[in-house]
Amino acid sequence: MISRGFWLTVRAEVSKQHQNRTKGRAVFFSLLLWPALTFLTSYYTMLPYRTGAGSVLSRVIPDGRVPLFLLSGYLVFQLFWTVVQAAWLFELERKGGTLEMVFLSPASKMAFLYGRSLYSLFHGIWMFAVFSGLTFVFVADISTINWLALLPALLLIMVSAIIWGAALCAISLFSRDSGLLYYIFQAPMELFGGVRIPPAVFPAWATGLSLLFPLTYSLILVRGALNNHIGSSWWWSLSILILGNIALIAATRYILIRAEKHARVKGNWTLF
Amino acid sequence: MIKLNEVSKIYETKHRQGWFHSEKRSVSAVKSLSMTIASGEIVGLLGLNGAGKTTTIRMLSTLLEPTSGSIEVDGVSMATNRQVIQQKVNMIAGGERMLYWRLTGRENLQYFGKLYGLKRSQIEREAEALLREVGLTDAADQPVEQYSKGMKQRLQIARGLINDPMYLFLDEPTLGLDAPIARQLRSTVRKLALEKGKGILLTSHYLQEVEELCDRVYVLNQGELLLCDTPERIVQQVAGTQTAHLDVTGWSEQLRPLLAEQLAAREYPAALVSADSVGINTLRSDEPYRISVQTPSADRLITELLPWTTLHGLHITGFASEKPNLEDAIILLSEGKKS
Repeated sequence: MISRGFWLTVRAEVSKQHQNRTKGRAVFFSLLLWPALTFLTSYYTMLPYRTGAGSVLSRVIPDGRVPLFLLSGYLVFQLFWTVVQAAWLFELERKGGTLEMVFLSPASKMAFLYGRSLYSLFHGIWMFAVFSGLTFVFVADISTINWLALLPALLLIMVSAIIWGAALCAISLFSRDSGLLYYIFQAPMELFGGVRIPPAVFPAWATGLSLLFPLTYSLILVRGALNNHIGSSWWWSLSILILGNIALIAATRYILIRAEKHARVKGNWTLF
Repeated sequence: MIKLNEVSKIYETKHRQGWFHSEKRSVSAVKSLSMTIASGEIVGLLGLNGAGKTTTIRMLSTLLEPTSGSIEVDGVSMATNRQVIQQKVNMIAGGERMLYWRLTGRENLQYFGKLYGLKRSQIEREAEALLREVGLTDAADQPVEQYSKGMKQRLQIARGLINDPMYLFLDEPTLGLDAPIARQLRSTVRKLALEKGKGILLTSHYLQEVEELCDRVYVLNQGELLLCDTPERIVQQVAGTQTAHLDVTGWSEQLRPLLAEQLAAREYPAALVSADSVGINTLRSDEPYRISVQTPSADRLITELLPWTTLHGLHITGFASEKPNLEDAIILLSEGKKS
């Protein structure tokens, strides 16, 4: 059972993040620009290539659905990437000494991590979500969308992103250089997660790597729902994502306890 | 009451030697420290750099775990009830860190209040009262990045009080502050102890501040407790005597052994520090000389020496006494320990 104190801390962290990171509406709108530009770059890069019948891509991208494929890819990638940024920004808290003040308080540290992750998701994704929503209306064939699968899948993916973000926050909280998160998760997650290129066309080793990212399963869920392909792989992805979330919560808790103990014994927050 | 019982802290550090080898080293930051802090009491923690002051404060505020020994706050053990203790204590450090600069002063207090589980109405009330108390009401809704150093420090005090802690640990709270602001802070600290009954532990490099505020002082050196007493008694015990200066005319060098003999007879052995010309060093007897003598009581010395000076034709033109302070005592203590 999650206590009232847990939610209070989550709310406190969300509101603090909002006050700390957004001092102007322009910031929110500017957040749309970068993912939209990345999307357009990818779209126009793929446009000259053949995607019709008999092409490699036609095996995984239904005919004429490249924009939808890319949009769904970027929307879900954006969900996971914005929370990576939450972890990445942790270094500022450590340098500013505010992290110690948080750990000095009796507040739940898990709640602190989840609050950060939750706000980052909201901060980074909302404009892009609006943009994507509108584009879906024009690009997607609404008749093929399985809404009963899409809506719970999107909800689950958002929860997964928050859990993923909190796990990364726990890692970066006690890491000497949280910049490593950027190098590990930006390009590899985008490439192997199947944002632009479906993992099905990858060689075996790359497919194996793609299985490490919750983004991969999330994309299978979203694209399956958009194209109404709810097969066994969809259900597998759903199960793996749920189990993965449970494992990540446990891992976050373990890292937090271990690293907090380390900090109390060693006097510094650098576990690795 | 806070009780530290035989608390030690050893840091294990790894020193890399090339890519594959590292050497483990142990540094004893605090050694078997026992101390108490009662409610309403201001206790000083002094020592030179590396004495173990900050480590002690960090252990008390639950950020560090003692390697051995125990800490109890109002009978509650820190080892088993950290969260309970975190509600009762808070820490304030000098400098401009530990605040969110893009948040306003009020938003900072609201955030930290929520971390301590306070209700919204309680937070609003407390924040308002604290901002008023530290004189930041007018700047409450300005971002902290627009605050001056003194304002940030005052906000730190307010932040440290947001959970209404029973015990407050102040680590160099007036570091780098202008004299009037430092004075104002000292008055706030005194009020917290006297009027609100908070137990306060203070470390500061400004020993005058410690002398002025603290009821008792613990002196640490390289992690070891050297002494615990009131500031006055520490000065008396360690620096001991005052230096009395007598400015005289009619001095001659033949008087030096006689004065030494006179002082020795009055149980001030080896107390004659110097007898030097004040002005240009000439042999004229009308040149003013300064006789400096170490004595437990400068007033008593002058009364006792008066007949002797008259007898030898000396005319006293001036008198001054120099009292040692806590700084002298701490330096003497630390140097004594080293030697």
